[in-house]
Amino acid sequence: MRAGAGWPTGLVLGIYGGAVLLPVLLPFSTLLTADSPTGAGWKLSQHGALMAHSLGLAATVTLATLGLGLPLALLLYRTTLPLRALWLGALLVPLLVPPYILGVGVLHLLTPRLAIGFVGTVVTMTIWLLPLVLLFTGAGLRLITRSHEESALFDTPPLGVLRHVTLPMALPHALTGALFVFVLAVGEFGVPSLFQYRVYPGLIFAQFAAFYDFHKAVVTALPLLVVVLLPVLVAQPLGAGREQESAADRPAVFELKAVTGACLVLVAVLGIGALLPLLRVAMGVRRPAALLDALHSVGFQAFGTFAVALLGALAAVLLAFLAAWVLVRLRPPGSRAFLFLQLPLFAVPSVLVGLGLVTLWNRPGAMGGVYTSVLILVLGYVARFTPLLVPLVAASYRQLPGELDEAAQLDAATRWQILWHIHTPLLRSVLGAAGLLVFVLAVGEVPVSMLVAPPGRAPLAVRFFTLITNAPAEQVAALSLITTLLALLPVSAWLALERH
Amino acid sequence: VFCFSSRLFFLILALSGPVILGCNRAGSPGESASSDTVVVYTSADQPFAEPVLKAYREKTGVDVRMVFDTEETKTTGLVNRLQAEKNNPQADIFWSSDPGRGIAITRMGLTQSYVSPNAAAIPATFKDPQGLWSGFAARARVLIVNTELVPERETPQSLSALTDPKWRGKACIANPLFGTTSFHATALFAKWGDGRAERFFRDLKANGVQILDSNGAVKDQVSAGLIPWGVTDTDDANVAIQDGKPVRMVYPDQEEGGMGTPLMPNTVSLIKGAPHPEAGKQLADYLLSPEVEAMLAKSASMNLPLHPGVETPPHVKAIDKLRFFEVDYGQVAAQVQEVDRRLQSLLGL
Repeated sequence: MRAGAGWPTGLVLGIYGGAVLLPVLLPFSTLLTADSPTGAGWKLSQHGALMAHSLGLAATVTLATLGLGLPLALLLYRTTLPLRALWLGALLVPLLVPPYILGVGVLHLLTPRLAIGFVGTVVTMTIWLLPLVLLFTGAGLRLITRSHEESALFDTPPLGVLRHVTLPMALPHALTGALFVFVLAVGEFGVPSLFQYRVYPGLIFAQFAAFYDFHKAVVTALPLLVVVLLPVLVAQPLGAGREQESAADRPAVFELKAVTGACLVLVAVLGIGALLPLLRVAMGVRRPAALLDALHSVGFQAFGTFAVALLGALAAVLLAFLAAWVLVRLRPPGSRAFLFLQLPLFAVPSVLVGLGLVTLWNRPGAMGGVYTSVLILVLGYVARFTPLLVPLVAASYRQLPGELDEAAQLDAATRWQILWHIHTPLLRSVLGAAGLLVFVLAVGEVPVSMLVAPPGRAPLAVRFFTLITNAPAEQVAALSLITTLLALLPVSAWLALERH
Repeated sequence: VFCFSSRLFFLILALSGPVILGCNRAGSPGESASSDTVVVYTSADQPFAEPVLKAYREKTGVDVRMVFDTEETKTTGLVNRLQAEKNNPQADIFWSSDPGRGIAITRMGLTQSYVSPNAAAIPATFKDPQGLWSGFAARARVLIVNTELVPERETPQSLSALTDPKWRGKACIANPLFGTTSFHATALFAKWGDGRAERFFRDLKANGVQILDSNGAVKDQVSAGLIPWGVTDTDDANVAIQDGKPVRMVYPDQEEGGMGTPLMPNTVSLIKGAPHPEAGKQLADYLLSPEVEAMLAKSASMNLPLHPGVETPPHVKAIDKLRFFEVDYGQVAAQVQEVDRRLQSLLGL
């Protein structure tokens, strides 16, 4: 660790501990009270088969999102493809809505006969999680600069440069995105359940919802946390998290020329395809009045939902930025292990995070004041999503040349001045992408929100979720349409800001 | 660039602040013990529960703060939340859509006694003598049958049709670990005894009965013509009928001497340590009133009133016109988890 880095390290990691580690890990304190995995009623044949289902599903979705996301990101972030912002917006929208709703749309589109089982599950989860690979790869592509590619462009055609220079440099970021896709896919239960595809998290759900056995639910969740370490080990040799240097010049843009039309058709098909399930649900709106009624019923709630998600995103990005700074620049002992553990932290089932927050904050006095306000939702988003951001921001941090810091230090700049005046501007696009990522995940988040949202202050996604069962089809359709349109607003604003 | 980022940051904070305060404008449950506020957690489907609670708000002026859940979409919400909050309760009332969850929280020691005067006319079998839970507005377990796939004369009339080879691979039930199906399964164990009940579920599995994730999925698959018939609740079947789906609803085992079908009352409980106990009691009184039972009977939920003499639409059966099998709800609830574990192993769930 660098000299004089003790107190900033302590401060940042202390805040991280209180805001993230404590609520996420608190439920695991139940493990101290006894019971071995065998005591949780494990049956290797049954549980093994379900774990195999989950792994197979997660691997398929990961490969599908990576296979689609990497070329899409190249096209959308680094080429002259027309209407790039529009297609990017369309592809990001599914991440803003609860995946269960996407699933309902897919079920209608493909018909139950085709969709029930593995196919519908994979299609829904691929549409839902593709934006993660897009955003991570996009953030990486923005850090690859003209200087890396210009020399190759002298003697290599653009396609060759894309393949041999740009793609290998973007790959670590794409793989990081794919890792998070894997983690989310392996822990997902709502979508597989909708398509009657049995997966391991169903066992955790059964402990919670059928037996109300918190202890056994935690014990049952443990193998899931171990399993998510597997892809980390696989991805490391492939380059996820590999360090690379970059300068601060703007990236090159590749001309598509003759293949513009074909690429446009491909991206348009995928962009529209990503919106189709939501549009299919929305097609149930038969009367404009239904739309107005739905808008009236969610108007202020939608505004509040976005504001809280925005604050959660800001807080998570700020904390992840500071944590990445400590881990990459100040390097306290155990930094690598700390980074390595972010993925299992993110894999902790949301319901456990929610219950950890309740246990931590629901107390008489000032803490109870926070718990009974919407600030608890902000804290929930921070606890749930900051572990997702830390590796992303840290990977980008590593790409900032150390010489910049040294030069600033020679000019007597303090550590904080370097942080705010040099690192922040250089990491602007990564922090923006990270903020957008948390924002969209927070808007669509249900399990934590449902457990901690103050009475009468449930976010839009929770309202949608609790209405979808047995509400008139037209009301569900109207809400779906409004959610999609509202989701497009912040995405469009961010994209416009980014262009600016 | 930094200046731009800072301005943007503070602009967002400035814009978000009032919204956050606005979201929280009514304050928190812990702030006041006044009877102007009541907090209700409910697992009843929001489309059915919200109008009832809003009507109470309009009638009394009490600020009713609602937290909804739905088992259908596989959240693990309110019972776990109530359990986690037990040292500093935030809810006054838990309105459960099924007796399983309602009595489960009583068994966890999360409720306090309140014998509502409005529950006096409700038959004793549907309420706890100490007032730890009180039932109202029941649903019944019914068969939902696709009219395009099953001619009327062949319509199954009994739960035992699930094990009839005639229907091999042509029927479905919801996962018996959850919700009303779980309670129904446990009630069968209580009524038939372990041996017969286990044989029934083993035969059901051997007969290729499909186990779907929820009663809603049973409704959807039968309505879509993917499976000829299944077992669900009256509200699901009625919603399908009202949506114009080609289905009919059958109350099973109604013949002379038949065992009848179990009723699944909603339950209401006053939470132990409720922040607004008096307001909670008043809301409990309202929920247990004939007025609410009439509202729920007329809604798409088509609940069966438990008070005698409540006026209902023609398609809603009065419970005295229905053959239902009587169970000791408290005793069945006590066995639910044991039976669930047995079924988990028996059916490979």
